[in-house]
Amino acid sequence: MSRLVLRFAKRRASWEEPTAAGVREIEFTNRKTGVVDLRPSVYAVDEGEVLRAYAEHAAAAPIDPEAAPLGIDLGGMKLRVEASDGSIKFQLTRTRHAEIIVEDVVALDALIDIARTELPARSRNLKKADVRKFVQEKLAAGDEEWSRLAEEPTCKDWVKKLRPKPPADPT
Amino acid sequence: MSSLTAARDERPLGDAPQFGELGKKLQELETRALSALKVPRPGLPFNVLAPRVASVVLARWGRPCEEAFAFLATSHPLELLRLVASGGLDVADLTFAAEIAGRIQDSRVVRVLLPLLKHVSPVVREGALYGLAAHADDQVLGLIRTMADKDPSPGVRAAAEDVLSTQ
Repeated sequence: MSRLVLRFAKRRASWEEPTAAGVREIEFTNRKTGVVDLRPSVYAVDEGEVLRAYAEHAAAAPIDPEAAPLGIDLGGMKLRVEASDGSIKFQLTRTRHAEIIVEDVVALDALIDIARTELPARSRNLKKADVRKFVQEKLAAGDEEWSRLAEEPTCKDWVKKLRPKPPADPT
Repeated sequence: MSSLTAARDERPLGDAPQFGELGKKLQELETRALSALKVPRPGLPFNVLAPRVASVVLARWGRPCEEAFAFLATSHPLELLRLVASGGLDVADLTFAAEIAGRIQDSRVVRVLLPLLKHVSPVVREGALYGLAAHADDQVLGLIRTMADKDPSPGVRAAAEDVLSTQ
């Protein structure tokens, strides 16, 4: 069974926009430069790895605000996908990170239109509470990657808040 | 909603009480200096910002973006609130500006973001929900619960559930 080609959304509602241009403006446009991203990031993951991939992506990606917990599977289309290193903080998302190479805006809009038409089948909806539970369990278990990330000065607040509380001082 | 907003901090967004009279005079001098230097007046949407802030934002970013909003939230929080309330940001910018405005520790955040929960664009309503998450008292939570049940957008309903489940 082939892996998903998962693109994490910036907004849950953006894929409901009535046109491909509306989706492109929010999901595939660099707000800083106004330039459309023709090499959008994706992750090649198995179905059972979606939650983990999102948690790692949201915690490690140099994006703020964090992405919405919605993945869109762009697999099964005629895509040119090139592997590219993801964040060095996590082994899974580093090795499964890739970029879709899109020729131009027209090709990107066509891709968006296919995904919009098949949205229910392509959506992987996660709950933030489940994501936080996953991270909390990793931190509580002393997971090496997560514990290291939680100690970094740039660690995001939502991750810091999930760190295990130190035991109360009996004195 | 009007009774809710009436109970909140009604200080105008334009004042800067922390700087006092001296601060106001400095701002006037700065505005005059920029005018004398023929610094062009910023166009939309930054024309609502104080001239000295607009000139910094224009010089560093040139256009609305998450980094510019984060800078404003940290360094000129009331200016960000004024920008969000101005109606000058397009949907793709307003959703992120609303979320980032939520970081500001000021009761006026709620007054600015609450109307966006009724914005015609689901993406903007979603951004406002995320922004309000850090300011969710009982009244705000009540509105978010209603959105989780009744908003026409599945994405907004899911976002509202997210906010409720992480309170």
